[in-house]
Amino acid sequence: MVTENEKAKQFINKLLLNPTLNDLSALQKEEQIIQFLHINGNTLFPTLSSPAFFPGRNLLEVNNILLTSLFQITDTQLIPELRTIIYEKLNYSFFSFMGAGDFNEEGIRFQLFTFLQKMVKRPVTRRNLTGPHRAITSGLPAKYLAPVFDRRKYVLFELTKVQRLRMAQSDLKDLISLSMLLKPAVHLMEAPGKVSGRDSSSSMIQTHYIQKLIEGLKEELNLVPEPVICSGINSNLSFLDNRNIEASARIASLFSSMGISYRPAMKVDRGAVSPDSSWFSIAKKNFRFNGFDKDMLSELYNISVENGW
Amino acid sequence: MKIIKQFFETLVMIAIALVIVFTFVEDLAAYLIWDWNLRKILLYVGFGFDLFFTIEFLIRYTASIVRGDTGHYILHKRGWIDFIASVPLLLFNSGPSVYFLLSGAAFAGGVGVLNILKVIKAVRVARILRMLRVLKIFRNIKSIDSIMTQRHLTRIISTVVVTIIAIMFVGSIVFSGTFIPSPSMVLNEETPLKTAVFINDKIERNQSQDLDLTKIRQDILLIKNENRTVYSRYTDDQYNSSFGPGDFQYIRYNHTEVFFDLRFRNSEAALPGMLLLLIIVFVVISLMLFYSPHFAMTISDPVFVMLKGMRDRDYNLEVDIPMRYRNDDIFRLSHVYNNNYLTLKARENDENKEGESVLKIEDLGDLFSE
Repeated sequence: MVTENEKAKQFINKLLLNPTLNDLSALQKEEQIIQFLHINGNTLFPTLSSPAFFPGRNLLEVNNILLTSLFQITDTQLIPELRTIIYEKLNYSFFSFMGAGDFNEEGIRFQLFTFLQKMVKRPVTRRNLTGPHRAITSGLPAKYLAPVFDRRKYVLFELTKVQRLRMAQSDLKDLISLSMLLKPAVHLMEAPGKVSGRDSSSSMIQTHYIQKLIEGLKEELNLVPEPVICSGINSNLSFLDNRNIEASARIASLFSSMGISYRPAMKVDRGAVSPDSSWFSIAKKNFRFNGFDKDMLSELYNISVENGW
Repeated sequence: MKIIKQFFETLVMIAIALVIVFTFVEDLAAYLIWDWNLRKILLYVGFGFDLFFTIEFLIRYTASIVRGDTGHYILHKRGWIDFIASVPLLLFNSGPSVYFLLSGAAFAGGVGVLNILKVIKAVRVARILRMLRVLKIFRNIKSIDSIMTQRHLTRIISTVVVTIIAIMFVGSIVFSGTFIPSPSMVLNEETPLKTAVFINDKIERNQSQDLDLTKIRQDILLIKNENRTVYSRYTDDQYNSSFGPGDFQYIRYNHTEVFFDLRFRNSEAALPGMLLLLIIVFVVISLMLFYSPHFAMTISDPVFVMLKGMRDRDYNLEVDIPMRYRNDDIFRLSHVYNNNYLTLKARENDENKEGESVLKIEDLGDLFSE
């Protein structure tokens, strides 16, 4: 006898097989299916509530069954990917530059992975993990840091002189990647269905809320240096309102936002600008709206144009 | 049904490609004065092509009548090309030739007939029009994948090719000697008829032994008087193997019959035909290779990118604006699209995260029927 969960998984798997989702990350695919179910829920319900699927269930119940299955399927790919990022891709030697005392690498990895698993369980943080996850798995920080180091202009100045991160390129890449992974934590304190700490006139988070959050995270992630947590959480702040935000937080904010819709294998149509250049160009025009650092965007835009990205 | 239609379309495309090569080879055969047996084969092949395209035209025409869109087929789907490049060729060119050949009649005539022959030969140029239909083959070229590009390119090529062919057709009639004889024709008083009259006079005065044919004309093949051969340049076997209908001209004056060799004149006449074909082929190829990418880059590609960006929520690529064309209307529009539309769209997407999905309900296909 086929259970409801199995039926739901069959349905979700069928949707996941759609070729238009091929080059998307696990979380991007999940987001597309959630949107699909949200838009077409009423149309699908008569069929999904039939004896062949979930008889006797109402729309909300059917939706919950499908979403639970969707999350389960996504997790089978997402959790191992996050484990790989935390345990294999990231190196935490830069913690010593950021005032970490005893360096317990295994403990750090365990703590971060446990924290990420916690974030993945909450729909809001899970959604906000889409961009960082995509940006890291696509290698955006490493891709742009190499030319940043070659050019030795604004971005490198901000990182090494202003923020005083005198560390290797690979360490900076790891710091930015970790900042991106911690960025969604800003939503951990939000009550379900309620967006806390936001300025009513923009999508950016207010400073006092951030301070409170950082204090809480310092306790939970006691093996992670405070500047790393601050870099991650501050990446949610608007640079226009907070000129002292760390350069690593500003880059993390850019790449996280870029990662939301990033498709590495995207076919560039003839007559169109490349995806990275297009994104930076549009982000430059919207820098006030998104609270991005315009100079940083300009340099990254130039890098993308020079490299045909 | 779809497979049959596809097979038929492929067959037509192959036939069109072959007929263009064939048209060149046919002119080349006349230019190089190939052996008659070879040219006879080409004549039958040409007839086969004309018959095939006439049948194809009739099928398409009948189908358009059944569908009730004959006018649309003739005017907008290049039915007029299908017609010009098939029916007149069969009726006035290859059809009569094959008829004469099969009936064993010699196709030869006087000066007036020759002029008509020239007009009929000009009809053959219409075969090249079929090339316009080959444009379909070029659809797979990178820059010609938009319907708008295809239509514009087809219109330009049609205009150029039809203009060239029309000029050639009218020119070959006007300058054939009927309306405006060439100065060389006016100066050359030794027309075949005058030659025949002169030879007849010599024979009737019993002065045929004084006839130095090499001094009169180089192209006299055979002279007969009262069915008696007075002179023959070649043997009967040579005539059979090297001469076909249209290769000689026959003039009769009183009891004297004179046959003239037309092969060299035909050879000269074939050269403009070959050059015309080469001009048209290279004009079409040049337009395909040089104009179509330009059209795509400056018109259809920016339009495609903008349309896709307006239709697809997740498509946010800017239009690439080449510096040297930045003042073109289309790129000024692209500039507005890049700077205003995409910027506002990005904000809208940020604010309203619950937007569209790349998945559509139709994508579920037969899911519910399982």
